[in-house]
Amino acid sequence: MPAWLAAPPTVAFALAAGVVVAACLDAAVGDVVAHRVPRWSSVVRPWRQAAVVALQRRTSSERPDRQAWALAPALLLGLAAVMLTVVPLAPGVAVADVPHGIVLYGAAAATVLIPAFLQGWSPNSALAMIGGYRMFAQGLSSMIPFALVLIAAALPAQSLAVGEIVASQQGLWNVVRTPLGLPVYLATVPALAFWGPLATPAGRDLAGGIDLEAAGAQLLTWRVAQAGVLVGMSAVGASVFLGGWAGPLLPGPVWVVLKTVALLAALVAMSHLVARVRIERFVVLAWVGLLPLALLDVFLTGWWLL
Amino acid sequence: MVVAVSTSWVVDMAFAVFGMAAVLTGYRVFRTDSMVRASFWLLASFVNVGLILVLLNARFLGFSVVLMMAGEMSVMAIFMVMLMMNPAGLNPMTMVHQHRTSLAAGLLAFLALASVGVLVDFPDDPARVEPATVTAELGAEELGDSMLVFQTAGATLLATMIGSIAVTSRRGRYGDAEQGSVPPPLRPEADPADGEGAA
Amino acid sequence: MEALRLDRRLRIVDSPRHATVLLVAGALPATLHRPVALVHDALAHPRATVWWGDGEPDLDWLRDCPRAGGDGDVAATVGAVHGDLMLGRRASDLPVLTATTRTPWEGVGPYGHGGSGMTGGTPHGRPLAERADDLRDGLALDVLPLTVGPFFPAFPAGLALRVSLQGDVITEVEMLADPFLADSADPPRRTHTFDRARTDAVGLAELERARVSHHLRALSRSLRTQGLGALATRVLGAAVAERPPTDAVRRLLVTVERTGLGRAGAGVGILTEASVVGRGLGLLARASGAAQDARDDDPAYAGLAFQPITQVAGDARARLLQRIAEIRQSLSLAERAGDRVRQPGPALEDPRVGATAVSELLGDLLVGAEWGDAVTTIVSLDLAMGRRPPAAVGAEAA
Repeated sequence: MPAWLAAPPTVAFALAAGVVVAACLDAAVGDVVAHRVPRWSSVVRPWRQAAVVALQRRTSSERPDRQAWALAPALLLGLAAVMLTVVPLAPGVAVADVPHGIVLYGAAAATVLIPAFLQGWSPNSALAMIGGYRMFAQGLSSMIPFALVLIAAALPAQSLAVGEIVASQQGLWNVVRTPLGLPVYLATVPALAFWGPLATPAGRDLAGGIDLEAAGAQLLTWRVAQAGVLVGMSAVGASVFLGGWAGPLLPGPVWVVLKTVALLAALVAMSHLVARVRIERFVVLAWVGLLPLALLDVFLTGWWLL
Repeated sequence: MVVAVSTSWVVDMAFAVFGMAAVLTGYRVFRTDSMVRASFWLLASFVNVGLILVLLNARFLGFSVVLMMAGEMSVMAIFMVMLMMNPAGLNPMTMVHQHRTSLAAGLLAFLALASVGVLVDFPDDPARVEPATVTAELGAEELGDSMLVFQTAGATLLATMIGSIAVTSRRGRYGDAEQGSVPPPLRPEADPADGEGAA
Repeated sequence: MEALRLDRRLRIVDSPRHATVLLVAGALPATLHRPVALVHDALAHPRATVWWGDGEPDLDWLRDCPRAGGDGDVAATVGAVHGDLMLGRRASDLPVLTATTRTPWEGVGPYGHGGSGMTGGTPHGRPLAERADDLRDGLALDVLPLTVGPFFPAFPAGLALRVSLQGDVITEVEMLADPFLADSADPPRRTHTFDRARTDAVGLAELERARVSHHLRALSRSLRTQGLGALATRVLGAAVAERPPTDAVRRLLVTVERTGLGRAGAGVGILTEASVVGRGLGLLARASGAAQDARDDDPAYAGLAFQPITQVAGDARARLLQRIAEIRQSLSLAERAGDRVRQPGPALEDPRVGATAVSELLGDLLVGAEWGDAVTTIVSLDLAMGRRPPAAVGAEAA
């Protein structure tokens, strides 16, 4: 089978597997935090919930923008797929081992703002719309530090290809070499994936915000796509900061999967253990704290290379 | 895309698709009935232009266009919502004004550009080198010896932007900005801006 | 009501759009008949309603619904209805409101917006957005009038506000309906410990444990609002447990503190000391620095080295810290109380403060706040008052 025919099913499989793992992790960590006896039903529960949502019919609100509303989940799912294409499983083995993979990933991550805003704006519902505005506020604030730490991680490799960035970490992982990179990355990913402490666009104070009016297949696709973005961001983070396929004993691809799941677990644990951050506070933190830190990360890495 | 670059007719087809999509989505900007939708149609148009750049083997530029435009159009949409009437699109509004003038201007510009495209004899020199080289060559061609000047100008602009944000910030080192706007007293011991000071 | 959140068979959702079964608990006052019908019609198909209570429901469309008796296993009933619904053995509920009563303006005017021309009509009572002066930075933005409640998930049931928003900043607030007062038709099943303490002698340890339970419930609501549902469930579990182990509760409080829950309330919803003194606001006053505590003068507490705890800031964070500190204090009091008994007579320090006293302050508190901060403020005030409210919640069996 030619490579370009194998690519779509591979990405679809990776996305589906990642989303299932994320859902099960979320259910299991939720049980642990709630001090409930983890049962097998924890693993089954996400499936049941998904089935229930799928069985519900779509609802409409007052004069919604139907096209944009239908487009939002599809676009988000597509962006999650793009993120996964740049992740190399082994040297030279990636769906899109393009020379500028990290820029492609950055473009996909930045574009997440658009479907998230559309999801809130299209239903023409006040609280959902406020959710969409919040997405812009936190997304635009976190995008620059997010991109800067990725660039700092690419500096030692002298390449923007994700495969090259992983290869350059064989001796020393970027998590040590550029120590500010991973913390800033993990602080900005929740903002871009509207997750955990920065799930403010879908916050409970907005009764669900951008999710408020969605139901049925639209909601299911949306939730799957959001989990997919989280998986994509974990997978790229594992490649860029945690050395990708590098690791003893086990084969490379297994390490990629293990490191991705580790980052995913950290993000899931964050969502159950860290309280929501006020949007205004986060915006200040991003511009006054994260942005200088990210710049420092770039300068330090450059200095280290010289 | 990896495949497309190596096969000529695929590139041609893709170029035709992206080109037409860019023009059509650009057209939709003016036919839609809300500011937010107009912003996103414009974004769709830019994404198609970015994809054409990818076809031209300038991938870095192509991806960067998408990355920058996603942010920029978000900013534009939110400013539209902030400053224009009717944010949520509950009541539709038209996106054009001065119909005749703009129609004539648009048509003239299109004809001029199209005639340049058709009549000028472009060199046939396909970019079959490494994408990284394409970006570098393009940069050297565009800026040449002025590269350092442009880099400095870029850094200066960034500093200016940060500076202007800092200046307009409500919270400053001398306290709340609104309290700073009180005119000073005319007599040394008087309270700021009270009527007596001016006497 | 709240204890239903602990039932693993149910998943209580925030938006009616995500629910399959609407659970209507108790008798509803007439003012809520239309709101509950609106919630009902917002549920996605297939949907069903379960009525929970004794006697006859006072709404026509509730009469034919499946019922759970006041003492029955409501989760099982909801689960059964949900199962039938999903397997297609039960037809989906029809809308209660007809198209004309729900959206009388729909289809009128060139865009169906309820009038002629661009500015005609006021769909759902919302006039076309008009600009108003901004409170913060002088940028005049559109005003969005909005009614929130009475079944807003983050608010205590029954609280309805009419707010004007610019962006997400509140410019005007009007309270349309209080949180539930004694409008409920059927009497509470079990007299609350603090109601009993007004007339009868009550063990001091029992009283303090009831206080702990009340504050833990409030803490659980705060956690849930800040997106920590799992931890909120655990705190709620400790609140409804008959005698939760003291050490476990103390460890739980440390976990709660580590989430940074207070951050969301720092500088938010500040009640000044002057505004709370002498209003009988109990914990809220102490969080603003007023050292008023009826337990100070209560002979039952003599010799237990009782000292009122206070905070300084008076913001939502201070109220949270105060609540956590008072839970610790009450746990320690309950441990040391032994078999002391409190006699009725002296003023009782009741944690269920009067919402009416707070509601007068609400306007000043919320104007100028961002919507998220306003919700944090309202939750931190704990307006639920511990009464047993009739309420409608969207539930979905899991």
